[in-house]
Amino acid sequence: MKLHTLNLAVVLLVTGCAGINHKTVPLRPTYLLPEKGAAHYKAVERKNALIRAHNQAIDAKLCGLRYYRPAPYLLVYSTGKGTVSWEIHYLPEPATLATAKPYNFLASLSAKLEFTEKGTLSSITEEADSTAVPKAILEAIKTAAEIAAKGVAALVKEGRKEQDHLFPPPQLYKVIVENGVVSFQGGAVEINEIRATPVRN
Amino acid sequence: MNTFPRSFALVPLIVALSGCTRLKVEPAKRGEIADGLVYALPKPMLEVRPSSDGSMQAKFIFVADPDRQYAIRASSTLSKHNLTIDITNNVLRKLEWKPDATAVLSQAVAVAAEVAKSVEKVREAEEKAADEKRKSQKINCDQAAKEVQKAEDAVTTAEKSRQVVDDGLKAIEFQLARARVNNDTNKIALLEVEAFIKQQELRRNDSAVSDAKTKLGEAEEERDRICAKVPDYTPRMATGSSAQSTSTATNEKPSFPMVWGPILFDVQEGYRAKDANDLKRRHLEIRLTPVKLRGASQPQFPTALTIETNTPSKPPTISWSMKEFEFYSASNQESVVKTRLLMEDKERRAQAATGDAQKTARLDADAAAASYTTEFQRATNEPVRLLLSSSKPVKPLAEVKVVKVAQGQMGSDPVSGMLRQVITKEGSEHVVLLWSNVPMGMYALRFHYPVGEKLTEDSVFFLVK
Repeated sequence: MKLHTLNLAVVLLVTGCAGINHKTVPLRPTYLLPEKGAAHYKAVERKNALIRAHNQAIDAKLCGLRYYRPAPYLLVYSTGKGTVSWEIHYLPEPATLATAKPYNFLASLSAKLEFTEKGTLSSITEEADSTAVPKAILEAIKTAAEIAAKGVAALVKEGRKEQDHLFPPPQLYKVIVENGVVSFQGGAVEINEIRATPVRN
Repeated sequence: MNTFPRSFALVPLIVALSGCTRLKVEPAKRGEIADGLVYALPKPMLEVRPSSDGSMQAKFIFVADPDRQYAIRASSTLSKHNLTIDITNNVLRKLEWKPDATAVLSQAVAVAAEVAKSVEKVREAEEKAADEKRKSQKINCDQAAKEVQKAEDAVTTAEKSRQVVDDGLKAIEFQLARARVNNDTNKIALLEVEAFIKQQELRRNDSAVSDAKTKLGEAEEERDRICAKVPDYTPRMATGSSAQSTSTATNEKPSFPMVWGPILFDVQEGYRAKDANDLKRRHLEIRLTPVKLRGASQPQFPTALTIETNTPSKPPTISWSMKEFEFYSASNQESVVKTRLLMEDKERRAQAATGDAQKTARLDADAAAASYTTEFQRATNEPVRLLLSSSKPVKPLAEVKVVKVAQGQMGSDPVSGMLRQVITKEGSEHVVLLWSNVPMGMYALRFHYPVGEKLTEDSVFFLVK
């Protein structure tokens, strides 16, 4: 009896295991640099250096393939024909680093990981989960986006009064869904207008 | 009892002999030696492209972020693994990892041999593929060179044909000059018609030569593009229209119109800080920062309006139609012709769009004679040939003048050496030809009719080519 137990223990010890470990690590976003002449420019640079060092230390401890998780963003821009275009794009979220680490011990494993050009995983269900924003929330995004689009439309109208070949710059917002409430963050753009060379009539 | 210690002793032995495989991914710093295959995480950028038709397109593009690079390294000890990595534009797209740590020492040798074999196979396959690619590029290059040869032959043929016509024209002109000396009006008229026909033919030949040269230039460009991939290929000097442009470039720098280019926005995500005290707060912000090129957020680039910038421009085709015609016939005694014509240039908009010419039309009438004046302005320096014709028989025009217009005032003296007039025999197609090399400026064409001449709609219906 004792012999059988020990043999079982030996078999269990020798039996291997394999799989893929996924980990998601939040990184600290850096501060956006103000204009070079700003009083707090250097302070922001120093702060960003600390944040980068902190993020690099976290990154160095991680194992496995790094990839980004996707997050929804709203892009609003003038079509130049009296309307605006608003589009939801899933872009890599730079503040969240994810890893996939295949492991095996005394076993064989066949792992296939596929990534999109955006650096997000496309062959696991996580991506599908993260991108599957519920319909109700999408509706909320749509409503909010239309409000944002109206703002750009006003800019378009204003621009057309002045000059036919000036476009308002595009605006990009991050769609944040928190506790079922949708909000937008962003929209800043460091340019006042976009110019197009007209065709001479 | 002896079985127990023997079995137990096998455990560390099996574990020791069992191999292990490792897949290591470590950050690879910029400018430092990376141990492994390097890939980068992508960075999103927004490309905004305004079009001249008043529309705008925006799309995201993803570039490799050199600040987020990682090195992948795989190793096996007493085991085997199969690692396939697909990296596109420095961004990781696919990774297949098949480690097998169940192999024992006896398999390790075979694995090593397999790995060596597979490496060799991969190397051979790569070499074979590269060789085939080189061969294919060479074939394509040869084919392109043949096309260039064909285009060169076509240019030679067209030039020969043009030379024959030119020689013919010169002969007619010689005869014409002699007829003028002899004052043989009938012969002059006939020779002038022949000369006109030859000139038309010469123009067609000019156009054919120009087209052939354009095709040659295109063929040479295509050949250079294809052959540039062939390692031992030496680009040849262009012989067609490209050669002309090269020589022009050495003499004087051509000026090109500038257009606004697209803007590339760097998508930045981070906290916003209004001042140093704000650094403790965390307001997330998404900011689009234009990537500057030559210090400009939106740079301008030179462009070409038409692809035929180096080939002779074709004469503009302008159609005229009569909008309204009122003719009050006058007797010879009264010597008054009052006409009012409103002319509409059908292609005025199209002409202006190409920047070639702007035209205005005006009809003047005075008590002495009916005079029809049309003004035109050349916006470019290329000479233009003007052909005016009527589709129905008209009486010979009394006088046709080209006068320079300066500051809105018409000059009195006709522009000398620019005008020729040919009138065919009555009954056939009546043609009035104005053969001019008109430099840039504002001009007026004046047609003066004899006093009391009965004007009809057909009399002043001109086609200007």
